[in-house]
Amino acid sequence: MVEARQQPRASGGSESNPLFFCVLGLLLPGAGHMALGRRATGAVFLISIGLLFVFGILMEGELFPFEAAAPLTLLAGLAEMGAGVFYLVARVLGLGSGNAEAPSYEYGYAFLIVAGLLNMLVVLDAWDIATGAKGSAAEAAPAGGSRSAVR
Amino acid sequence: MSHSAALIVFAALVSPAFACLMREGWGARLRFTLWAFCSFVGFAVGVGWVMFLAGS
Repeated sequence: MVEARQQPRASGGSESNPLFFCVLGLLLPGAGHMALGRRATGAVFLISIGLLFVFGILMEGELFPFEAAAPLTLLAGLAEMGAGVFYLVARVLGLGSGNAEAPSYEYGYAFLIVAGLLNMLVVLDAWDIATGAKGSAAEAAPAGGSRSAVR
Repeated sequence: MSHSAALIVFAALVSPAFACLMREGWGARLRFTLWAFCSFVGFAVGVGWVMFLAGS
């Protein structure tokens, strides 16, 4: 299965702005890729990051509060925010209070943090695709190399 | 959820995302997914054995 290559959009309007795809991807993991025409890739990101976040909640991980007095907790909270709509829904529903006595507590918040950080990487990837930076790099690779230029 | 189950779930979810970020083409992505999954699990089991043997 090969996805058609999507060139950066040259037309005007909000959809030609790479920032649009980044904001979209930050709100819903994979949505930026889907909007760029890479629906299957976006679906992989959505499922992977979504399930990571859900497992993190099920494992009684914690959504860390923003406390300026605790810089590491602040950074963990910022990382978790990267999961976008999953983070917002969990906050609204009051999930992610965390149970430090649960055996899976540390695994749980590690899953939540990785979900957020992974989505930040996905957003940067969407930026590279929207600006043409990733496509240019793939085209510059020698033919027959390990990285195929076909998308 | 046991430690090994958490490890396998983590590796199974992160590997395809990394593959989509780092490889183009579904064949290359599938190979990278398998390689990353085996690496995650293999290194964790290996480090676990090292800690077990070093602690005994």
